[in-house]
Amino acid sequence: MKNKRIKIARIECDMSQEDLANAVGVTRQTIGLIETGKYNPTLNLCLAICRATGKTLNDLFEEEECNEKLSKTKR
Amino acid sequence: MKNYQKQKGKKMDERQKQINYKAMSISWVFLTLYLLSECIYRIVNNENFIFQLIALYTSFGIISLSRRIFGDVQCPAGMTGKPLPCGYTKEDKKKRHIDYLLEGMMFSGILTLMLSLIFLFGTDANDVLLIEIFSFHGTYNMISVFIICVVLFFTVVTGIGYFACSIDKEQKLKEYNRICEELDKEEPTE
Repeated sequence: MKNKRIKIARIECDMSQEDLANAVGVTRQTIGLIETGKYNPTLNLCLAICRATGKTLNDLFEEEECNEKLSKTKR
Repeated sequence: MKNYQKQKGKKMDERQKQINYKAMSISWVFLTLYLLSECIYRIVNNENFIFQLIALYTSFGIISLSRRIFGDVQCPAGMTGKPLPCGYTKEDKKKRHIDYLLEGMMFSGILTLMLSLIFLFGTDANDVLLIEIFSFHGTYNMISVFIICVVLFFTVVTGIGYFACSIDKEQKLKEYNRICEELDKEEPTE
């Protein structure tokens, strides 16, 4: 599943894939694969991406279905 | 926690490492299959296969040892791959020992089959020591000698297999239970 939120967050920070890759210490290909949903990053890498883009884990990585389920259970 | 900033300039990131590990695993499977087929080929042709067998067992040993060194201690699995009961009750122990016995029998069965192949298809069948002893002076015919040898060998190797398996797995179980206890202790108390 594509992760558009990372791409949007990256663009908001005016960063290219290369910039974000350098900021978190991975290759550009890895960032590209995360954005296209072809690679599941480790929690450490997720946190590094969150720090680099100034977002939270929920903002970038929590799936929408999961959010809906959580809101239903809270009700 | 690892700081990813520090990883700048390093050659591989986590994804590339994962790919490398997968590639290495595939090459290990290939190597194992090659050694196994080489062993079978040599057995059938009655050639010396001891070095191939040592290499095969060494590769399995290295993997097992590496997993222990890197801290991957699991509850030992039974023949079906399911984890064995880890308790110390009589029932748990009984279940475990039945599994060890079955494993010993399987190991023994495979080894007996391999040796039977040597006997049946090898050119120097009389080199097998027991055959020579039993068929001394032609007291028994070869078929009965062969059956006696197979049964004897199977029983002895099953015993050895059971013994080795129970020692190894009980040791792993103790280690697993010890680690679980330690982890329980480390849990924060409120």
